[in-house]
Amino acid sequence: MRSHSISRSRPALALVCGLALVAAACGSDTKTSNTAAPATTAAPAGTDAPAGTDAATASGCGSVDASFDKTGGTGAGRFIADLTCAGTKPLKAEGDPIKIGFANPEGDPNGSFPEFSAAAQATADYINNELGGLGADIQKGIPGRPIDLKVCKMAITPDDSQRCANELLTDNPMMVFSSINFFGNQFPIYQAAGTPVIVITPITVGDFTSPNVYAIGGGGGCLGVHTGLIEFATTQFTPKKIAVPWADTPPGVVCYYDLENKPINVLNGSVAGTGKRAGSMPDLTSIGVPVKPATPDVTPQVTEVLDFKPDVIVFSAQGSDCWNFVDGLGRLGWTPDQIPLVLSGSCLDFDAMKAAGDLAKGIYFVGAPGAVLQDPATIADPRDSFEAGIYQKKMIEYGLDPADLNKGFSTQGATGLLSLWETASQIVVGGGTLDSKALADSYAATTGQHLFGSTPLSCSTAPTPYVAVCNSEVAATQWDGKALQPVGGVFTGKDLVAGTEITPGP
Amino acid sequence: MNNVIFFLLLGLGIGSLYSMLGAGLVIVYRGSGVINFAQGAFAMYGVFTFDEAHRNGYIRLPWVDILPTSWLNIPVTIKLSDKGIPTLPAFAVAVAMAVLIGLAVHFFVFRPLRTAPPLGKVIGSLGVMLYLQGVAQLNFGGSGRQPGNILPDGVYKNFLGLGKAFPKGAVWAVVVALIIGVALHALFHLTRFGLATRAAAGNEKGAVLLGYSPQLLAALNWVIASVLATVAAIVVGPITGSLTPVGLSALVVASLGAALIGRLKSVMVAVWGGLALGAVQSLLGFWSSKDWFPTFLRSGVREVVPLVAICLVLFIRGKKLPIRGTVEERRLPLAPYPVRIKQHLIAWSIIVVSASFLFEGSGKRTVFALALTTSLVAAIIMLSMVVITGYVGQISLAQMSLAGAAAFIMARMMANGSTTTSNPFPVSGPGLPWPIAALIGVLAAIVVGVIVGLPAVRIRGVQLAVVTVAFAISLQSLYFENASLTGLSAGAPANVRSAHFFGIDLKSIGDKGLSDRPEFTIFVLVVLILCALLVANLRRNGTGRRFLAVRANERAAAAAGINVSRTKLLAFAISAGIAGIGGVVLGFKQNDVSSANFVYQASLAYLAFAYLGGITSINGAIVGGLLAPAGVIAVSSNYFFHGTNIDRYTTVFGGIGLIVTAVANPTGIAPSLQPLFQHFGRWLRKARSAEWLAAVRRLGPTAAIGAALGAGIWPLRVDSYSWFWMPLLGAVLAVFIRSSVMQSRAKRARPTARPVLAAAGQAPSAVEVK
Repeated sequence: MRSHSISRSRPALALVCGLALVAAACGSDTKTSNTAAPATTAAPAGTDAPAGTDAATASGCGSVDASFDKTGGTGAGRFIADLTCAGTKPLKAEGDPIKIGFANPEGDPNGSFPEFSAAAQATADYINNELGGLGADIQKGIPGRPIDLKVCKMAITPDDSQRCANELLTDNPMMVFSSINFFGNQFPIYQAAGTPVIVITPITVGDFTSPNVYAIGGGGGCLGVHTGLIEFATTQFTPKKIAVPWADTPPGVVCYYDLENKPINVLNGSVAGTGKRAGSMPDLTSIGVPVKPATPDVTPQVTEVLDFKPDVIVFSAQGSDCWNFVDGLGRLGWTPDQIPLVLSGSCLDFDAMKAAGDLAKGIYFVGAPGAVLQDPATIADPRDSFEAGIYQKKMIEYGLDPADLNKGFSTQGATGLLSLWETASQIVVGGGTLDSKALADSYAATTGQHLFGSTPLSCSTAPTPYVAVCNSEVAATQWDGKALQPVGGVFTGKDLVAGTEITPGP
Repeated sequence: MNNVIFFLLLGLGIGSLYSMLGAGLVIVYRGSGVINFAQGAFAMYGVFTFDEAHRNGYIRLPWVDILPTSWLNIPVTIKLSDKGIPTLPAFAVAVAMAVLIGLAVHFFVFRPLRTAPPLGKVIGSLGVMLYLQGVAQLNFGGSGRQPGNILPDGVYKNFLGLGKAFPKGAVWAVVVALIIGVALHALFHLTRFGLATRAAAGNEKGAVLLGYSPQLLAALNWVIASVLATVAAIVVGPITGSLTPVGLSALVVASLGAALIGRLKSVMVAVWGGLALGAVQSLLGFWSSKDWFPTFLRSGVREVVPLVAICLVLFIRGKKLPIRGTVEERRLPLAPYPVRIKQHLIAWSIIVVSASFLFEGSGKRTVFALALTTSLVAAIIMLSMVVITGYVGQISLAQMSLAGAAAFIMARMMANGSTTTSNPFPVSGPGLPWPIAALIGVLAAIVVGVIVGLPAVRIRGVQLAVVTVAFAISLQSLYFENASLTGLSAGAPANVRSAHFFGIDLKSIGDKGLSDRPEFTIFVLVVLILCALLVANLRRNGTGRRFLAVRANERAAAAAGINVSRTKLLAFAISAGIAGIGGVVLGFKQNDVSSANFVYQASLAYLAFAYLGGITSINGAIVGGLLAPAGVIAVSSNYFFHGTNIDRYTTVFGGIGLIVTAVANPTGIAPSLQPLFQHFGRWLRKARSAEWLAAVRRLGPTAAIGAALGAGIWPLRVDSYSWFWMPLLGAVLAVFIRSSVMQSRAKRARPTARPVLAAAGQAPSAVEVK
């Protein structure tokens, strides 16, 4: 009898261990909103309406100041008026919830970004409790339907990427957000289901080129940022020698050869282009130095860059790789005063920049010109100031951990949900019916459409093959040791690749 | 020439990190016979501890608080200061932490595993790595850290007249590595402790007879290795830039290269080897950007260096490499003789086919359809591990790479220059029909498998494991991620067209986008059944008996007339073929394949699941498949426990699970479940109301208490939870704990009646090798 009981213990033990390991390999969760509205929903300090939106209307809301549309994109004035109105007269969503999927990498030691979904959830709660839900007409006080955000937490594996797509589709979502996905193998599943996908942070080639996908992330991934880096570096510093260390990842290869190396060749005339600046810098030479992500020691690559004696260095990579590179430059005696360094907006990491001290002071950044992380009082543009105030107040009110507030992915999570809300409202206000197709059509038709905390969306003008890229305008800033200072206005470098063939490799 | 010298010297910086980690690997191997895959994780936890104390003034202890309620807490954090502490005290804190980790790892993991077979030790070290990564993610955050540099900043402007700036930190790193190497060399050659360690490494029984405690020596060596890893990461780590829990752990491969150059014996040679590896990697990195460098080699040439070093050393000096002596070494569990195959197949088939139709278009439960096919595919790949590891005893950490070789070749053979929605860049290829393309893919995997197996002719055990993991990394860099060979631009996945069979479309994705087509599930099931039959017949015929003979004792097998080399290569070929079939089916399941499917970590994970399931049996592979990432049990866990935040701790629990399994239940789940099912089956057939009542009386109170705890405690712990499943979990855990305690008592009370070897059931029996 005892021998039986002992033999039973091992399987049970093994099963428990097995379950634990399974959970380790694949942590996932589908989470629905359970956050109650905060007790006070009055307009917070710092979110006062910009001048021009205070005239009373029949519904008690401020009038729409269309002048904001000129700088903030179509609908900016309406957006500001709506949020201002909701600040004083919150409108609660009514009716059956609309399910929205949100696939996000969480809980994997290889990469975990819980702030992405936390900010999205906080924004959904804000929308449900104050902005009337999806399809609301704030100006007329007509509520829309609440968002039921279905978050699928995924491990960073191709299998889990597809699992999340299947899991989210079982909820029949009206739309799915893909926060950041390293594989791009989820798109065929969504395409077969006819479910449109909003990509918040485009990084894979599928993010740029898949149909029924709308990459709204500021800067539009490498189409906007990489061409923008070359545009900025060549106009700001008029160099003769430009060094381009590049992220040696599969998408990075295309981003470098097609959107950095080719524009340089267009500028020096070795590649024919139809842009205005084609052939305007015949003396321009360059060096490309591949940098693998998480390279243990980048000193050899840095040495190669500095040996070229460039007039300017441009580099685009993911956060930690950027600062590894800057650290490597510093170890070889480089300072930003000697040779200007222009990094992509994806390198922005305020902790790393502060830790780098003088080494970071003077570095330029080119990317989405969002200002939501800055102190609203220090922002000159009234729309930017207003949106920064909204973000910083509402996220905390609706439960975002203050430690996550200043993370880039938090702002992008909020931007994604507010973009959806704005688009849904426009559909309903315009007399349409809110469904998947209407949302997809609305995004696909955008041309200079306002986007919260970012540059306007223009999905309809995306060039082939980057048909999913909706947001390729960028702006430049410079880190002064304490804050980012704007350098010029919004611009795009897409003109540098106009009339050229795609060049995916060497 | 100046450039060549300069870049060689420049690589010494990172080489010093390889050196010190490699020296730690040698020390651990000498001390306890373990190839410590967690050496990089030791370094990671140490440097994170240093940085946290220095920057924020906290010590984060190496465990997590799974009950962070307002009234019941497990202490995890010690606050030292509001603003961080100076460098030297922070360094001391990190060293103390390294001592703690070293001792804990020895006493809780590798002391119990001291007589385990090499595979058990590999699994144990993987468990430690997973645990430390999980704890670090929870305690320090998942993002990278940029610890401050404690070495001098600045540059030598014209270093050695080479005309380039050279970082002072790299020079100091090399100096520190050499000093540590010399010190350790002296320790192991001039002190009684060192001589005793070397004696124990050569002959543990002899050391025991001389009055030394091998376990005490092992404990001290673990402490030295842990401290060394921490010091290395603190001193040299900053030159690697931002440090992440996974990134530092991955440095273990290059460090293994250094350790093997030192023949797992000489610390000093390992230090020189690490420096050389860093130098050569740096030079190749420089050369690879030159126009004259072959394009197809540019991708991943740096990663190949450790492989070349490892293979050269092992192939040239394989038989001279020390196999550490042990007092006693258990063997792998018995490979059960397959019985009642037809009944098993019928039962599994009925379950799978029923489930495939049950879950098709079934609302939220549809997720189980994909989970089912994921598990079936994983089971096929794990069957390949049953052959190579379970039957022949060779540890291969490259099975997913072999699967990848087949999948990528098949995709290329199918390619016809057209584009897809996920890949706008055309891929050229002959456009072969799927059966021919799949066959070519599997054949390619077999060829690659035989190449991987060549070193096994001369080496075995953990050394072979190291070769295979290096091979896996190289294949990934040189082929899967090499656009010039795959024709895939921008990391686009390789498209795999769906299969057709006599007019039946075998695509995996249905019209609604969900991966729930029963036709595809049945297709995968048929492939799995064929593979299982192949393995079962292999186990029952002469080839299988030769495999087991080689596993049991190579010399004895050779004496019995078995060609050991040929047998091993045959096993590698068969195993690679099955893995290749798995890769091909994986391609059909996903409709495309990318390098991310076949990273070496995937091989490690699959081996771990196969081990959990039972590495020596066919049922073990099937259970392993159920446990696989995104498989049935994972999806069930997500489905039933949604709304909880248990998943935060899954990596930690996963690591603990692996360790506990390696220590307490090396046979895995499937073989252990067999008697359980038989027992329950008999009980259910015979049980009458009285027996049911007795069982309820015996277990009921415990289950009720567990359920109450589940209902009462879990709400304090989790954000939201299921009122049904959480009490049920509490009840099951309570019954499990009660059962364990009772059995432990019974075990202690029972006199040992049989000799040790027989009791352990490890002696090769006539049944095993007949």
